[in-house]
Amino acid sequence: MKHLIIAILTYLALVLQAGWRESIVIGSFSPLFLPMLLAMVAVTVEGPAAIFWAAIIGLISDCLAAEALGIEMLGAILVVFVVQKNISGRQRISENASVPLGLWAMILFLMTEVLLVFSRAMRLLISGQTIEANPLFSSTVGVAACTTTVGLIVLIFGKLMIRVLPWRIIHDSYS
Amino acid sequence: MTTRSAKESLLSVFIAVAIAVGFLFLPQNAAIRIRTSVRDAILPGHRLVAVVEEKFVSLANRWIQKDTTVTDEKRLSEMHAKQELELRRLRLENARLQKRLASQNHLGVSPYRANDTAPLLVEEMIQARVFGEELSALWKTGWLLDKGSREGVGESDLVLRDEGPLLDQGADSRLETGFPVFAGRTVYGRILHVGKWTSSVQRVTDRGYRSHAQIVRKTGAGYIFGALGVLQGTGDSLCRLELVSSESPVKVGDEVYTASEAGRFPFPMYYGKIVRAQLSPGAAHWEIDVQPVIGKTPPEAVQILRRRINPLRNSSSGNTNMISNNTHIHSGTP
Repeated sequence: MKHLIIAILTYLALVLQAGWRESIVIGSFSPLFLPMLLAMVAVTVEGPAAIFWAAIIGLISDCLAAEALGIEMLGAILVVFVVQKNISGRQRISENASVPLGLWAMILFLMTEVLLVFSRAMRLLISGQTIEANPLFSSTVGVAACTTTVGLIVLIFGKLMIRVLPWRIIHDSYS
Repeated sequence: MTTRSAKESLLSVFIAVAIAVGFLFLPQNAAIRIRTSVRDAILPGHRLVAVVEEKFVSLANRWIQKDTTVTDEKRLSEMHAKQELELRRLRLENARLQKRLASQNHLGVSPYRANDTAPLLVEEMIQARVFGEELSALWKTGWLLDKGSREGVGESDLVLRDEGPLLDQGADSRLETGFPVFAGRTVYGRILHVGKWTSSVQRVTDRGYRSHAQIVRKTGAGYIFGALGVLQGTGDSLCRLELVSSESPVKVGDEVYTASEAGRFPFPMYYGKIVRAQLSPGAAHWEIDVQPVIGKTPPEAVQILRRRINPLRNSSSGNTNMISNNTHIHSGTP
C-alpha cells in the first residue's frame, strides 16, 4: 500500500511540476514538487526501496529537464542515501507525523538545495563551463526556500486531512 | 539498521548509481524516446488537473462575486492592441496589393478571363494547448534564470538547448517535425520533436531556428514587400535576419514576416520588428536584429499549420492524404 501511495504521489508531483509550477510564485521563485516527494521517501521509506524510489523520482526529474538523463537521478540517489545514513531508523520509520516540523523543513531545504546545486554543477561541467559558487548558490537557495515553504504547507494540510476518518485509513496503511 | 540491511542498502546504492551513470551516456535518440514517453504520460494527469481546476474556479466564482469593472487603462491597452493588429493586417494587405499591381504592370493583364479553380493543397490549423513549460526545465534552460544575473549567471549556454514548450498534440494529430506553430498571426516556432500525444516546440528565438523571412517596409506608395532573408534564432531575446542583400533598403522599424515565396506559409505571418540594422563598409549583407513578438511566457494555446490535398480536388477517390512540410506526399489507398 505504501508503494502504491508513493507511485500515485510521484505521478501527482510530476504533473504539478510539469504544468502547474508556475502558478505558485513566492518572491519570484516557484517550488519543485519532486524534491518534496524525495524528502518524504527519504524519511518514511527504508533501505533499498528508498533508493529505488529516489532513482525513479530522479529519472523523472531528468526527463523534465533538457539535458542528459541521469544527472538528477544520481543526485537523488546520493542525497537519499546520505539522509538515510544520518537519520536514525527509529526516527525515520516511526510515525512520520511525529517527525518535528523543524526537522522536516531542514531535511527538505537541504535536500532540495544539495540536489539543485549538484545537478546544476554537473550540467555546467558537462557543457564545459566553469562553476562559480556564488551565482550557483544564490540562484538555488530561493528555489529551495520556496520548495520548503510550500512543502511545509502541504505537510500541515496533510496532517489536518489525516485527522478526517477516511484519510486515517490511508495513513495507517502507509505506516 | 542491521548489518544485513545496511549491506543491502549499500548494494542497492551502487546498482542505482551505476544505472544513473549509464543513463548519462545514453545515446541521444534513446534519451529523447524516454523523455517523450514520460511527457506523454503526463498528459492524462494534466487534463485531469485542468478539469479539476476549471470546476474549482467556476465553483469559486459562484460564491465570490467577480469584479467585472475593467479599468480604463486596461480597456485602452486592449483597444491599442486590437488596432495594432488591424494596422498590421492592413499593411500586409497593402503590400500584397502593391505586389499584385507591380506584377500586372510588368506582365500585363491577360485578355482572357480565367476560371477560378480549387487549389490542390489546402491548409488547416490545429489548435494545441501549451502544455505547461516544465518549470524545472525552465530554470535550467534559462526562462527563469534570464530574469537577472542573480538567478542565472553562468548558465547562459543552457538557454540554448533545443527543448521548448510542450504541446498537447502529437503524432496522433498527424503532426510532424518542422510543422510551423503560430500564436494568432504571429509565428511562435516550429515542431521540434513529436511524441505520440505531445510534441515540443522550437521557438523562433531558440538557437537552431531558421526560416525564410521577408521585410515589409513603408514607401511613398504605401507598404511593399522588401528584401528576403533568413531569420535565425539566437537563443537570446532577439533574432538575427541574415542574408539580406546590402543593396536592399532596410531601416529600423521595418516589419518582418514569413516569406510567402518560400512556399511554407500560404499567408505572411508576423515575426517582429527590426530594432537594429547595420551595414559595414564593403559588406555583402546587412546585419539585422529583429525583436520578435513572442515573449518569454508561452501563450495558453497555439495553432499548428498542416497541409493536405484539397478534398474537393480529390473527392472522386476519397483520398485526403496529409502533406508534410517537406511536401512529401504519403501514398494512400488507391
